[in-house]
Amino acid sequence: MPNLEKYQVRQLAHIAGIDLDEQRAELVTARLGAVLNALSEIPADALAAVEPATTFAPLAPSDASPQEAADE
Amino acid sequence: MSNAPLHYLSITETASLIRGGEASPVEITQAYLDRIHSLNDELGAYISVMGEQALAQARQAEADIQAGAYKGALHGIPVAIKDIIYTKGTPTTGGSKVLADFVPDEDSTIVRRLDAAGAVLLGKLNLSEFAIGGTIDHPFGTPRNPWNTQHTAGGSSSGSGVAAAGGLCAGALGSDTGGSVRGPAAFCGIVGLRPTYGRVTRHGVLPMCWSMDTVGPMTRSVADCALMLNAIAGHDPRDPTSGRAPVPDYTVSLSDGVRGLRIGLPTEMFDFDGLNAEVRQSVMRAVSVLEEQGATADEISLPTSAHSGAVFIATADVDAAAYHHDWLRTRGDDYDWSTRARLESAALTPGWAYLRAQRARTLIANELQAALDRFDALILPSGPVAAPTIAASTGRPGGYYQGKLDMGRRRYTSPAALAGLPAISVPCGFSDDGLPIGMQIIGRHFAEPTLFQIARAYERATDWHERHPAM
Repeated sequence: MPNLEKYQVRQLAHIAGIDLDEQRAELVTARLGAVLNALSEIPADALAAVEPATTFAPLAPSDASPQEAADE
Repeated sequence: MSNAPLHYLSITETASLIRGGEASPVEITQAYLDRIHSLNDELGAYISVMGEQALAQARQAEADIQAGAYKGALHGIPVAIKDIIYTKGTPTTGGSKVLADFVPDEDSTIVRRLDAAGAVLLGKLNLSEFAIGGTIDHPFGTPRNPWNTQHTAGGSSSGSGVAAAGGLCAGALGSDTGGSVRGPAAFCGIVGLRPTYGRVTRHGVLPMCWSMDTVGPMTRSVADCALMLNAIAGHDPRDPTSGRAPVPDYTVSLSDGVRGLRIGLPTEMFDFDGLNAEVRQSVMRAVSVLEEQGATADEISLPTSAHSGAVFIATADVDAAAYHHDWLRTRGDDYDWSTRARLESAALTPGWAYLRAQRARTLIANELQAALDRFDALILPSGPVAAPTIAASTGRPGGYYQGKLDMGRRRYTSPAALAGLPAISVPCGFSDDGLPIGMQIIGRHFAEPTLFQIARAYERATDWHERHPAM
């Protein structure tokens, strides 16, 4: 993945309504670039084989716990 | 009963003194308040101390117990909570100037549950700003590791780690989105539990990431951790993400031992270049202790989990940036410099990256699920290093939270968070510099009893939990 440039980040920030000073623009560029690069290192074929995560709650029995009654 | 001074007794021991009439909740509460008064300026553990209210609660507990209305092991026990948990009439700052004047008009469900259990609330604990981590300038004082005040206590539940380890409360609550309980617990040498996602209500808790936020206990013993979870676990109709699984008595499994249990050791976590050799040795020795007690251990590969740091940031930080969207634009200068830059970076994350992270999250969850089909639990370091110095650990460019180790640290704590799994950190040794090292145990959804079972078996065979900072 090509390196992210500071001017690109500043343009993006402007569109998003974020006012980046010079020092933060530097850090935001480095940080965002590092995250995007790290994500691009995950093997694409493995990712293509799955759906994005959409539900997060673990499966659980439907019984309400005794605590619920105590709160009410 | 140990020979420790009152402020280092476990909740279990303190409860025994209260129940036997050998110590009163008022005396115990006053002793903790005195200790907070003498040490908080140095340690930066508390943002708000609720002295008068705590003493009133203690007097009520004392009267109730004398009248025969003993509520259980937390009755009359002084505890403290991270300052993202709402307390009616007492500021809830989130560790930020942005909310310095915010006073909730209702208690969180967790506070109501602690109150119902008879606990005494000493105050609100310091943290990384908005539970995000990497704060450079803490507006309410810098939290310091009680084992060496030049070193960080970790984040984001920094004050919770400091207060529990330093004997400034009997037990604390922190929050763990991607390691914010387990990290400080490991750095401060205490027990810290990230419960299963949805096990503990988040109603009245400032959010960071809706799909990963959890609240968990931070204590000086495994049994204390189980006792605190007993008090706060369970469904809450006010939190649509809270699970409906029945709540067991988490103390029941504590003495079950580990004979016959199968432990998985993730290869990518033990072979990582950034893993400190002392940390590796300590955790491997801990695994040997469990094997001597009848557990079996074998390696397991979790290849996608090695990428979990980036996946976590591309998920949790984007959520956080959405929550902070308006304040970033109207109150930007009130944020810590590092928090602000981190949130702004997240706000600019492209959609393709977010979706890529969600696919990777599916892979990581599947990977962990398959591993936990084969093993009863996974064991790995709680982090790759012991606590770095405060000077090296801030969110400044080049610091621990911005450098390579940021991703390195997240490699250890993000997998359980992304998969919604419970994980516990227990003390398993010290570095040559005298700083604590933590072992992390990850279990199946709602398998907190198994985590307590393994953690207590290890604790019983070692004495790390009996060592306390000399202050």
